[in-house]
Amino acid sequence: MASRKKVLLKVIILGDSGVGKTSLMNQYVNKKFSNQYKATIGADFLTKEVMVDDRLVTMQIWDTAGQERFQSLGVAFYRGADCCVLVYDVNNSKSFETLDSWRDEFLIQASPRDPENFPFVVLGNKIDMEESKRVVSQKRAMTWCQSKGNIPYFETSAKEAINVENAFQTIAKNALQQEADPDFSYNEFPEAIKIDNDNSKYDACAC
Amino acid sequence: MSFSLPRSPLLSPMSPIMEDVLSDSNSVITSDEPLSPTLQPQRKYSVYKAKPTTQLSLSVPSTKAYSSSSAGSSVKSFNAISNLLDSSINGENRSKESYVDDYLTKIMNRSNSASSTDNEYLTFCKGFIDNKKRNFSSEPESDMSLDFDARNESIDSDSSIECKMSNGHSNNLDMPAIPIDEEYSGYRRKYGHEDPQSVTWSRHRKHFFILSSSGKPIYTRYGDESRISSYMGVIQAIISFFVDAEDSLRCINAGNHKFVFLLKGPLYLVAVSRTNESESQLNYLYNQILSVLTSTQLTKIYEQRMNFDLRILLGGTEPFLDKLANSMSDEPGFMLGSIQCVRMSKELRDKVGNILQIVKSKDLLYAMLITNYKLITLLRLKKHSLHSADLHLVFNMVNGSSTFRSVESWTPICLPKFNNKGFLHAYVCYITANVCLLLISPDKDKFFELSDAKNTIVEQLTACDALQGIEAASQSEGYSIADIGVAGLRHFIYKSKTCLQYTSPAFLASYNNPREKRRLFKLYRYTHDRMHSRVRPLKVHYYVSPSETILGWITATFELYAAFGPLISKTALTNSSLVLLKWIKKEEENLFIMNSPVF
Repeated sequence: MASRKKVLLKVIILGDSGVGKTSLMNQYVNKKFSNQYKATIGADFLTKEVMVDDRLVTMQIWDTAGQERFQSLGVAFYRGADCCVLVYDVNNSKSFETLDSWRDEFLIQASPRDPENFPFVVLGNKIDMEESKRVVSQKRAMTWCQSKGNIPYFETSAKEAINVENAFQTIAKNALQQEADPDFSYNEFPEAIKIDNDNSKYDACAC
Repeated sequence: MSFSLPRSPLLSPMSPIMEDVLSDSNSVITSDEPLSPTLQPQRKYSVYKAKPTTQLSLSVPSTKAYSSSSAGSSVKSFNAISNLLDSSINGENRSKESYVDDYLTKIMNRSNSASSTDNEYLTFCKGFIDNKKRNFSSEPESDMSLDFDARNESIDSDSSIECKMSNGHSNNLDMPAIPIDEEYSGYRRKYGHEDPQSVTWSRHRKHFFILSSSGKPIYTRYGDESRISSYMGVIQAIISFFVDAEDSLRCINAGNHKFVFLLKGPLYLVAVSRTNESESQLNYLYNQILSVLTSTQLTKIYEQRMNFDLRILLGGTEPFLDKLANSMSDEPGFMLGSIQCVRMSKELRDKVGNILQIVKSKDLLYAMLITNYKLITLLRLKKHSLHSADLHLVFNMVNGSSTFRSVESWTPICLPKFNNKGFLHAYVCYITANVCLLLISPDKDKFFELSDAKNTIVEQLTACDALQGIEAASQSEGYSIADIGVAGLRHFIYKSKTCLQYTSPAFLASYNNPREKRRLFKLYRYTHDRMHSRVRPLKVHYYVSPSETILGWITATFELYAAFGPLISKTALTNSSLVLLKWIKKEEENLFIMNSPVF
């Protein structure tokens, strides 16, 4: 099992269908990219070990399906996440506009302890495409991120591996900060047993 | 809801070995709660009904899309057949049930696919299945499969025999050197650094996984749990589909493997085995975790933080979980829900019991003397008996760490059957080389008092020569089958249902090597499972294997499992069994603790 230095972080990637969630993850974990589109069914699971500062961190990445028909599975996937990555396509304004609902949905379903400060990261993907195709400006995206409590924002290209490493490093870092929560105490000793109170519930006997 | 697919007649369970090898049907059993038909639309699992061979072509083409050999990473994906499924379902508005189908189909497909080219892409289920073997198993013929069984036998996980890597499965050579952090304890796990991508890892006969309900890894029997966190994600996803439908997944049969699930609030426990294990073993593992944390603490932690990494709190518990996982494979007490006592004369046991009485104190709950996994004597407070499951935890704790052998220890322990909400405190001290004294109190400040009590106990035991007596009894391997003198009898296990204790002679002669011992144990377990089948429980079970005849016999007062030679006649077997029962009756007071003394 782990020493206290070793940490495991559950990272959920959300966003519309076709924005490049799987490609980003694949670029990050495997350093590979394929132009071919293949829809994710349900979810994919990847593991990557990284060093953040001096700590060995295992990232358990949950790449979810963007398609509407899989959304009922949300609760199961979002539960107990340490960080949520919202992805949109800078060449597709609808994928940007739905970020709001992805974020709300996540907060409702995962119901983290401190929703205000839950670590999100926003990635604007596919910046390798021609400038003329781009419909969501950097300014517009950053304004949105600021309005949601200063969510870190990265413009990435899974195809050309731009900013991918950087973005995931931030993801790990922010999730780690959340881990080190000072008001959380798990080491309280439960109360002592009083032996006279609980003799009736006993059924089987060894001797 | 429950469904199971009809097995082909050829595959009906006849012998444990045949079952192990041949049961190639895929079935999923979930909880039995009947759901109203309106709530539970009829699911059609037509995909599973296809014979595995018919699915071979399905999953192969796209499996190369992600390769998992890159540095520091691994990929598990359900996506292997996604484009295929997608092309057939795109645009359709599908019900939730169909997603379940998708997942299971994919799992099944993965587990049934046979392609020697996709070695590097092992998914959760398929990871457990030897590629080479699968190539043949499309046409299950008994002799060929038996051949494989023999081969697998030689790489049994519990034995120390090294597995030879067959053909080119050398993925582990690609794995980067991950810094290994072992400073938290000196415990080095035997299989702790096994590569989860390797065949050696997937071939172990019985895997245990423990994860949180959010899919975070807590424990794996083999390998490093953080490196199989993708598998844990897959497990969580599969379970969630059923939880979502307010159902709970209990078991999946896939090829030779059985996946058993136990959902305990914030914890999910999973066993994947080729040995047909039941969920009772998962209950023991769960109890082991409770014994360290208590259910109060466990619930509270996850209420406060769903994403909690439980490994932080369980640091140092791993040796005990490992020990437990191992002993469940060769200790009949777990299967029988009972414990074994050291055979000794009633007079000696009574004498020892009387001496233990001197520690009588209102704050003492139990006082016991144990040796290895056997009980010498147990004293308890009136009205507080000790459940065998709790005793197994005590045995496991004492035997799981060599620390107890060298010093007096004082340790908190939760005995879940007694009370899963709080800790008791155990004073543990070896008073001779093999005999360990345990004094269990609810009061956490009793160490010095109990330590003094120990000195008095040892003094008195020495004074009346009882100490040498119990040490001698502990050192012996137990009685041998020759002591009983029953013709044709090779070995037996007898459980007294009234005392909840069992007795069994030492494994001698042909059964003293680990493999033979395990083989015999497997026959006992098979007999036991058949007789305790929920569908049709049996009173008598007679089974002839190529090497043994096994008699199973259950009455209101005992359970007997006896091994004879394969050629014994039924009359001789019956007579011998009666002689054995007579011997046990005569020896009863020495074999069992008939009346546990109280304070």
